Amino acid sequence: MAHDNQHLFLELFLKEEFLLRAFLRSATGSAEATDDLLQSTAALLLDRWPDYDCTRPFRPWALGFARLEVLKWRQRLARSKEILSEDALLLLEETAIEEGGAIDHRQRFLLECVETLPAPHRETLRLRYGVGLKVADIAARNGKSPAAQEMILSRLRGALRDCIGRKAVERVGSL
Amino acid sequence: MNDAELQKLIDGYLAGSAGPGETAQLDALVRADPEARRQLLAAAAMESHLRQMLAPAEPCVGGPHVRPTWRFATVGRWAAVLVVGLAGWGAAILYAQRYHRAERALADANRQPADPQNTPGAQAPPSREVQAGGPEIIDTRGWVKLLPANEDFAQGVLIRAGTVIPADRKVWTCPWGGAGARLADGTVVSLDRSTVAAFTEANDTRQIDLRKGIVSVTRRPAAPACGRMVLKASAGVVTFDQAQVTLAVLGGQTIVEVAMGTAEFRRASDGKTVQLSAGQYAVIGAEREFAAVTGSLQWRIEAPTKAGGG
Repeated sequence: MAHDNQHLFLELFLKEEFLLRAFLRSATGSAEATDDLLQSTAALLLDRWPDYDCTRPFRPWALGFARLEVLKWRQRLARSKEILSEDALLLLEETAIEEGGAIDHRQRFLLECVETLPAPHRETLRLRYGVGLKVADIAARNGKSPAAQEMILSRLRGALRDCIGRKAVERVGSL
Repeated sequence: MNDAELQKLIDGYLAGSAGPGETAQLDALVRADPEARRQLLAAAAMESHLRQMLAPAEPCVGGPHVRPTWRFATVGRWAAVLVVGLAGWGAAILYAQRYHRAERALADANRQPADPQNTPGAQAPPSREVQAGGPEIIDTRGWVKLLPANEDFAQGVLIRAGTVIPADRKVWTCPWGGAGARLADGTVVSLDRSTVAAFTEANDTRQIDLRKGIVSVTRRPAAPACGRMVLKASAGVVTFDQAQVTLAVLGGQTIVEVAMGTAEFRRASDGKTVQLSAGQYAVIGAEREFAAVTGSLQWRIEAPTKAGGG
């Protein structure tokens, strides 16, 4: 690969990496599988990069290979896990292609929204997503039942969604 | 199904707690309803972002010259070993797929420090004992090399987690790799892909010279004071105490973004300074005004030549 082309690959891949991750996460339902599949998708894209037509958009090309990686993953797990169907994956890919920019754009407000939460709630999010504790473990730390803790997390996610939506509307003119 | 019910279904699916019936229900909704697809993708995006944003960073661990000990006594350490091992394995596969050569040699190189007797022009990585006090590589993805000050690539050696970096060497990360480093005071530094950076320390100031690529430094505001942190590029210098700051040298532009805390960004050409706080960035280059701008992350998702367009 020529140096310039390698640079272009990086630019394009970095631009879409977040959306690829979101697609893989929604397609697999598993954070661990997402990490593995993002790695294998990157390897596959790099391998196929010489065949890429630079006049065509990169996002559908990359998401197509990401979906192929998910299909391979499905085949490996088909008998051991309930997972989304091939039709659902294809439609998710189409939505990611069409709506990816908007989804990506809105996530820019997430940090601001997290910082508006009270400290105990930020700590709960940190334990769940930063440290990766199970809900039951967080519940035990906080002296709550797992169901109550899950409810709190659900409300926090809802609050973040609402906050992101508000900020996206507020800043639509400035960004 | 109303919004709350759909969200509950999505939350359960992403948490891995959905049963067969619930997954089938979600599958049917995803196939039938564009809004369900949008909400699933948005929820997955938010969760992925939360995981990246809230990932633990090491606070200062004591004095400026107290080094963390490398022991594998906790589950966390073992998890780190597993992650590093998987990353090395992935890198080996990637390389083999792309270049179809040297699979065994690469795997060996990633498993153990390069042997100078078997690697022409290469130097062995420094031992931790000899170089105690320097930054330590704590994580690698893809290829990570230690280069001499003149950046002679032929003299570089592949390095792995646990390597301590001497002051006169630079760290290089490959186009699909990256590295994490921990400074002597516990500050965590992330080197992105295609990055070349050097680490220096003087008194209570830690400095990273970034020639190209992206470097992110996290010093949590709540952590004990660690002294000054300086990120230096040819176009400008960023200084801060406790903040989360990213410096990028990409496509002729130098970009600083602050995610937490505050930082000072000084332009080398005229000494002009801007103060940046959380959620702000500033750009030198591309005929942009040198000023603090509210907004963030656009440069990460746009081509570097369009950087800073938040």
